[in-house]
Parts: sequence; C-alpha cells; structure tokens
Amino acid sequence: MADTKVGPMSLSVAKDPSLMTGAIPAKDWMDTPAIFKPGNYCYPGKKEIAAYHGKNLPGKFGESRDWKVEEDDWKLPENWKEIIINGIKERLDKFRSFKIFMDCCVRCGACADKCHFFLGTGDPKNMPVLRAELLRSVYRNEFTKAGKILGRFAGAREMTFGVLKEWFMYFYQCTECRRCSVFCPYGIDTAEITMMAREILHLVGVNTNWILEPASNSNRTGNHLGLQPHTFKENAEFLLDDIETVTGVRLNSLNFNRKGAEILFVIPSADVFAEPGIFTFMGYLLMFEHIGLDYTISTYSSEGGNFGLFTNNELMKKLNGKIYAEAKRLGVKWILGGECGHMWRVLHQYMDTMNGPTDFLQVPKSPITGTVFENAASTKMVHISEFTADLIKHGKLKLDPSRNNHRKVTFHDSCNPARAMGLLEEPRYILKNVCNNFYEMPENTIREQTFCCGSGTGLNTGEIMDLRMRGGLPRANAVKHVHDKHGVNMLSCVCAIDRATLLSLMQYWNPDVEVCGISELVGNALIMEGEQVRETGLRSEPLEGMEG
Amino acid sequence: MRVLYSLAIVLALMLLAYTGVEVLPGGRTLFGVVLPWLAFVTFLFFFVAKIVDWAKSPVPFRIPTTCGQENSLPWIKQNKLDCPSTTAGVWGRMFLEIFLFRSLFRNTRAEIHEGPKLVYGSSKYLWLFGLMFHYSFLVIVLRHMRLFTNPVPFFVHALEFGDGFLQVGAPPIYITDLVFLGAVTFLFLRRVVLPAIRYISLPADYFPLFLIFGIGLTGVAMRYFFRVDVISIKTLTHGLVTFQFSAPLESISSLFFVHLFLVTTLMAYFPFSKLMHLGGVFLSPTRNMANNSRMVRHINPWNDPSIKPHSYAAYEDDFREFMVEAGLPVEKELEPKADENAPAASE
Amino acid sequence: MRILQLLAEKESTILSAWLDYVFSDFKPEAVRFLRGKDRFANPLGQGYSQGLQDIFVALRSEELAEVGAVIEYLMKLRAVQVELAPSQALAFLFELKKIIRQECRKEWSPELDQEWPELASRIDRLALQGFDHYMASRELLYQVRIRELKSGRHILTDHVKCPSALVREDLNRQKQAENDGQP
Repeated sequence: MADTKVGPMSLSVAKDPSLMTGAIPAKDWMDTPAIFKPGNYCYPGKKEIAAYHGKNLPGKFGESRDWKVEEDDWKLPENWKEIIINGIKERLDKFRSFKIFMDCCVRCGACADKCHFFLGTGDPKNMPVLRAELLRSVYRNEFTKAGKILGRFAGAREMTFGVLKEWFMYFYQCTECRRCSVFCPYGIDTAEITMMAREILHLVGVNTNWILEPASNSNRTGNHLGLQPHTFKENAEFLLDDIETVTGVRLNSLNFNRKGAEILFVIPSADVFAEPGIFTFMGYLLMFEHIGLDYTISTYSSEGGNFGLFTNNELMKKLNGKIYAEAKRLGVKWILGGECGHMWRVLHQYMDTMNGPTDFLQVPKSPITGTVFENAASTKMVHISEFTADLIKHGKLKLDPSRNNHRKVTFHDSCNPARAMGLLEEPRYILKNVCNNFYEMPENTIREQTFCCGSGTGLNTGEIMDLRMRGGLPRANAVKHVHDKHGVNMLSCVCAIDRATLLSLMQYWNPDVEVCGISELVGNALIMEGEQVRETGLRSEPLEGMEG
Repeated sequence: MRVLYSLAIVLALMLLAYTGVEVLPGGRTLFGVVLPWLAFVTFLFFFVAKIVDWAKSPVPFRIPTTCGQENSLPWIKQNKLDCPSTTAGVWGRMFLEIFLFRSLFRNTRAEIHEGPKLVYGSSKYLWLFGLMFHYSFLVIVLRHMRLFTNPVPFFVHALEFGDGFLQVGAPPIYITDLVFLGAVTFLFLRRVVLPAIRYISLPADYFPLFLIFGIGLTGVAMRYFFRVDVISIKTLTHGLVTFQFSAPLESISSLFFVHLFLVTTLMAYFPFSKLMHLGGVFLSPTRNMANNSRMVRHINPWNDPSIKPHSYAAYEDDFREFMVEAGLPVEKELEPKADENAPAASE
Repeated sequence: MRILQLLAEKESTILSAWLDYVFSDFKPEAVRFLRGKDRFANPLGQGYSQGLQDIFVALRSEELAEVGAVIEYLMKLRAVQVELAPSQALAFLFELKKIIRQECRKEWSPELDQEWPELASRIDRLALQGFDHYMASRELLYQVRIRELKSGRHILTDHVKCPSALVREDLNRQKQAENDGQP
C-alpha cells in the first residue's frame, strides 16, 4: 500500500465539510491548538507572590514575572524546554506512579466519559486519556525508543510552546478528582499525572494566582484567607453570638493556642469566615460543648486545606508541616480534623510520610466513648465524621432529628474523602441520625463514583465561573434528579471547597437547593443543656412548624 | 489513515516473510531460527529491563484509589477488596484486577432515557471481550507449549481436550480460536466504530491488533485449511529450545514462516509498546497498596527534611502585638517599647 | 395549518439539521461526541438534543405550547459556553427558519407561503423568549460571582499585596494610630 495515497486522503478527510454527519474523522487532536479566551483560564500568579514562594523554595517556582495568558509571549526563561524535559526526567526517577502511568495506557477508553469536565464541556481533550496523552506524547518523544524512532506513529511529539499552552489549559481543567482512576484497568490516576504536569509548569513559572496566593497566605498567616491571628479569633468568636441567638446558650469552650489541651482541632479556614462554612463551624462548636471536649484551635495552624498540593510536593510538605509542629508545641495528645476534601487527601495519604513520625502524640482515643481510633494509629489524626459517628453510636449525643425536618437532604461524596480515603459510611450514618429525610442521588454519581463539584484543585475562582458551571454540570444534573423526584432542598457534603462552590453551582443550575456541611445538621439536631425552644436553624431559617 | 497505515505495515511484514522464505537463499533459517531467537532474547532482555526500570523509581507516597468503605470504626463494614487495609486484602484486590479485570467490570456508560433522564448504565462489553481475548490468548499460548516440550505436559493435553470438546470438524475446532478471533475483531471494531475511541486511538493501538489478528488468522489457516507438516514444525520448534537445528526446513510450508514471523515481530515489539501493561498492572501504586496510610507510616526515600514549615516563632514575631492585644497566649512577651530592632526569627 | 402538518412529517430531518447547526458551534472534533449514531450521551448532548426536540414539538402543535423551562435550560447551557458571543448563542433559534425552508423546499407550495409569516412569528417569539433567558442566565452567573465575593472569598483574589506587605501596613497603621493618640 503506497503511502502517497494515505497523505492526501487524510487531508481530505480532515477538511471534509460533511463533518455534520458525525461519521467522518475531524482534525487530529495533536493539530488542534489551545486557544485562551476570557473565562476559560485562571489568572496567572502575581509577580511578588511567585517571588515569595520562589524565595522559600528556590527553583520550584521559576522566574517571577508579570505575564498574560492570552499573549503569545509568556516571558519564559530561554531554556524553558530544557527545564521541562529535566523536570519530567527528575519526576520519572522520583515517582514510580508517573513512570508506569506514562507507559501502561492502552487507550481502551474506559475513562473517556467518566470525567465531569468532558461531560460538561464536550471537549475531547478533557477525556482523561487524552489529557494524559498531552504529557505522554512528549514523554515518548524524549524518553522512549519507540517514540524517538517512530515519532508520531508511536504517538510522540516534540515539546513546543503550543504544547505548553495545551498543558496550561487542560491540566487546569482537571480537578484531580480520581474518578477516572476508579474505572481504569491499570489504575492510571489522572490526578497523579496532573500533579506532575503542574509541578513541571511551576518550574517555568506557569502558574495561577488563585493557587499561589492562598498558599502564600497559608504559609505566612496560617490560613488561605490571610486572616491574622486576632481577626481569626474575632471571626470565630463572632459566631458565638449567632449561636447564642439561635440556641440561647453561650458557649464557653472555644479557645485558641492553648497549651495542654487534649486535642488540637484543625479546620479548613473558610469555615470561620465564609457562608455556609460558618454554619458547619457552629455545628462543631456546639458538639464540642455538648460533650465537654478538651480541645483547642490554633491560629498559627489555622488551615487544614493545603493549596501546596496543587503546586508541588515541596510546598505541600512545607504548609502541612505546621500541623504537627503546632501539635508538638501545644503538647496535645492527638489531632482532630474538620470537614474538608483535599485537606484529607493530604492528611490521609501524605502527612505522616512527609512530616512524621509523630512519637510526641498518642494513638487517638475518644475521651467520651473510650474508642481507640486504630486506623489513625500512626498519623494520629481523626476525621470529624469518624469521631461524630462514634459518639452517636455510643449514644453520647442527645439529638432531635425533627429539627432538620425542613431539610430534604442528599449527600455529595467529596472526591478526596471518597476516592483517596474511603470515608463513605460515616457521614451517611450521621445524616441518618440527625435528619429524617435523607435521599441518595443515583448510584453511579455517589460514593467512589461521585462527581466532582467542578471547582476543586484551586479552580474555585471567579474568573472561570462559566467553566466551573460546565464542569459541575454532571453533579448538578444528579442533584436535579433527586430535587425533582424527592423535593431535595439541601445538598450536604464534607468539604469546604464544596460548600463554597456547590453553592454557586446550585444557584445557577438548581436554585432551590442549598448547601451545607454535615456538622451544621448535627448542630441543628443537638439538644443543648439549658437551651431555649429552637425556632430557627443555625442559619436563622425557620424550622418546620415555626414558619409563622 | 492511522488504521490503514498499521494494516499496511502488517501486510508488508507478511509479504516480507513470504518472499524472504521463498526467494532468499537461507531465508528459512533466517526466519525460522535466527530472527525468532533474536526476538526472544530482545523480548526477555527488554521486558526485564523495563520492569527493573520501573522498580528503580521509588513509590514516595501511599496513594491507593479507594473504591469502597475504608477501615475505620469496628462496626462500620469495610469493603476489604475495593479498599483493602491489609496485605491479604491487597492480594485479593490485585487478583480481581489481574484475573477478572475488576475495574473494567465497573464500567458504566452515560445513557439517555425517556424523560429525559440521565442514567449511568452498566457497560460490560469491553470487560467481557477484553476478558475473552486475554484468556483465549493465554490458552492458545499454553496449547503451543506442545511444540516446545517433549514429552508434552499433562496440562497441555487437558487444555487441548477441553478446548476442543465441541468435537466439531476435523481436526476438532478449538473454541479459543473462534473466541480469540472474535474478540480481536470486536476490539478492533470498537476502536473504529465508537467515535470517542477512534479519536484517541494511535497507530500504535491498531498495529498490535492487526498483528495479533494476523497471527491468529495464519494459525487458523494452518490448522483447518492448509494442512502443514506438523512433525517437521515440531522438530524445528523443539529444536529452538533444545538448540538442535536439524529440522527439515524445506518441507515446512511458507505459511508457517509468515505465522512465525508475525510472532517474532510481536515479541520484539512487545517491550517497547503499550503491551507492557502486562507488567505494569502488577506495579500500579493506586491498586497494589493498602489503604493504611494513617495506620502505618509509609517511608519516602527522598523525603527532604530540610523543608520546614514557616516556624511558629517567626509567626509570633510577625503578629505578637496583635496576639497580645487579642488575648492570645504568646511564647515571648512583648518587648519593652521602642525596641525596633527585634532579632529576626529564623525560618 | 398545512404547514404544521408538513413540519410533523419532516420532523426528524429538520431536527437533525438543526442539531447539526447547534453543534457546529463546538470545536469540530467535539461534535462527534455530542451526536453520532449512538448519540454519545452526556448532560450536554442530552440537554441539547432533548431541548431542541421539545421546542420543535411545541412549535408544530396547533397552539404554541409553553416551553419556557426548556428554553431556559438551553440558554443556561449557552450562557456558560464562553466561546460564544451572545449573537452566536441565540442564532440557532432564528436559524430554524432557514433550516425549515431548506428542508421543506421540495414540498413547498404557494399555499404555504401564506402560512409562513405566522410560523415565522412563532419562531421569533421563541427566540425573544430565549433572549430573555439568555440575559437572565448571564446575569445570574454574575450574581453568583458577586455572592462569592460578598461571602468573603474575594480576599483571596482581590488584594494585590503579599501577606508580609499587609502585615507591615497593619503595623504602620497601628503605630500611626498610637502616635496620633499621644498628646
């Protein structure tokens, strides 16, 4: 078969206008450039913030500079290609996962329609397999014999500026949710590939501000929002007033940076600041008071979330290190963690490895029930849902679930607790005990098959609102289903980013559905000692029968 | 184009073997003895090299993909196979993955129903045909052991008997032959027909399919249509493994050499291609690790102890005044006024 | 009306041409995923194919049925397709006229010419409805964004200084206040 005919034929196929029939191959993906327009990319990192990180971790954040995504000159260092190729090499040697995931894919397509970004945008490069091929093609060209000899036949291509643009576009349209990994016969995890790609992009200073700035805040002030210690404390204490208004009880147990407390409680900082996270925070506080827990919250380590995870493992380690450092300084026995998604990815799968061992802490033991959390024997950090479920199981919480009767609740499994930890039953057990109306979304959209909110991994920024609404479409679609069928009006979750972004998603697609953390519902149901008749829930909404 | 290109290469390979054997002096020795041996050595060496190369990179973090309930409180039922926390559980998970393609079994497809209602239906075709393909391939490879062993081990006899139990045709038709060709055809058609899959397919995806189909087709042709001299072939193949090269090569049909050359190509191509998923599946960190990262500390060999958090001392230095004012406890009380040059805290 | 009958007869071809037109807004290679023999189904493709059908069925009924919710959903989808200008986002509704004339050209008769203005005006009414919903969706999108800002998360995006600069500023301000307070 002569090659001469193949060439023109492929051309005519690519240009054939009968694309509309849906049967003719269009342009090869390698020939489709990434085009940036307002709304489809995140703003790049500010110069001084990139410089701040570069100072703390030399070499990991490239040259700090001002650059614009839509311009054709990203002011990259002259040897940027070399930096990238060396970056790939270094990571191949450091991460077996990276090597294997580069070599093993057979392009069976099982992952293709599993990605919420693909389902929501219809962009083929959002199929996990192609997202990975964006990087794999360069890997083959540089590091495999087949790629070097056979070139494009083996799926190899050279690193160019066009490829770099593609990386920046599509590795920032992946929320590292791992849904594709569940279905892959080789366990190829796009989250892992995206992490590598983002590490490499940061090496040449290609970054986003929404990730770098919270990370720098977190490093300096202790939390993403940049709240300074006194502000953090004031904000949290302010919520005590709200609690008093609702319950008639003034809580006394809230305290900060207290040495000798039994438990250090670490939360995603959004919970003391942004709605609806603050209601979740009120729930925590009510429960701690209810059981008389000896705990403290640190202003220095006031952030459980870790945007370092979205840049490189070095910054992740640096930010995470505060938790153990603070636990040691305060002399606590063990650590309790609030409701947060990627925070728990870091705590569960990375923390002990990066910043352990923790010989100064004790194996967590619930002071109320005596339960020893053997599953956290080494890390010494327990999830609030595990802790609460144990309390309920032992009958240590006085609960009136009818106070949540005005809520028809469904539960969104947050990606990281579901697929990087396996926290599935605990929140459900709690929900079934604190409210009377609980409905599950369709089977293939929950638990390990849960759909992402579409805004994880530092994509929860306003400038890509359109894109977020599309990425969250599969989740919104499933919520709409239970909303239509059961009248669900509350989407509960155990993730701070979810609480912020699902709210926006619901406001756009399902305006009748609100979003809350599990602990808010716990707080509503808790019968506090000396409380007044509750007429409203924690967000001052009238309870069932109290609407008048 | 990607399809035709791959097909053209496989056809060219077949033609090469045919003309080589027919025309080239010494062609039979080349294609029957020299190349297979070279390919086999290549296969072994580079297969092992690849595995060693993979194994050389450490697994810095414990990153299993959890596909079920974790091990937490004793009264919550753990999913021990999809979210194992023990080595035994991991073995179980890996067994299901490797022998039964557990993850593919989970496959779903977004479907639209009247309503309109979006349903994520189960889609098991890929799993079914993938399983059929791999198992029939395995049985066929094992059956071929008859050609390399003397006496033939019992399990080969058993396989042949089981495989041919239909007792149709003479010689009896092996079920695996049919299943094998059928499954390869399905996997190929799937790639061509489904737009999403066609879009992601590379020539490197079609080529092995054509190659394997060619091997199957020539094999079937030899067994059922153009009878070949099996005795001479066995002399050759058995000679290959016992280093006795005395087979009457001239009496073996060219068709056999075409078959053998395709197998030769497959062996040589294998370690450089995606077919290495055979080895990779065993080493995939998202599958072969226990989800016990909070129970047992996982060690990262390149963990950098010099990366320290922004220290509490530096933090307090930055905010001491505010902290004192807000009534937060501090390690170091405020310095007496007017002391502007407080020593900078080290990171 | 005779024309409505014709529309009913030609429903499948018109719908298919209409869907093609809508999908031509997507990156060419995405089209094949959005439709195709097995209608590679997903919320996006599903939303469009079902939505267009509902609108068309309403259009060819004796009385123009209420399809506000359908148009609203389609417009929500259009409103987050950043690559579309508003004119492009709405064009598909107007384009239906041209598609109908094209697909029915063989069966066209002078009698239909008389009925055409009525149908065209129906389509215009739908399109205007679409305009309302498109605007509402864009507005909603910005409202959502504003709500995010209001709820405090703007601290993350909108302040342009690094934390240490902020600390310094705070300290200076406090010092200033102290100095001012001193007699």
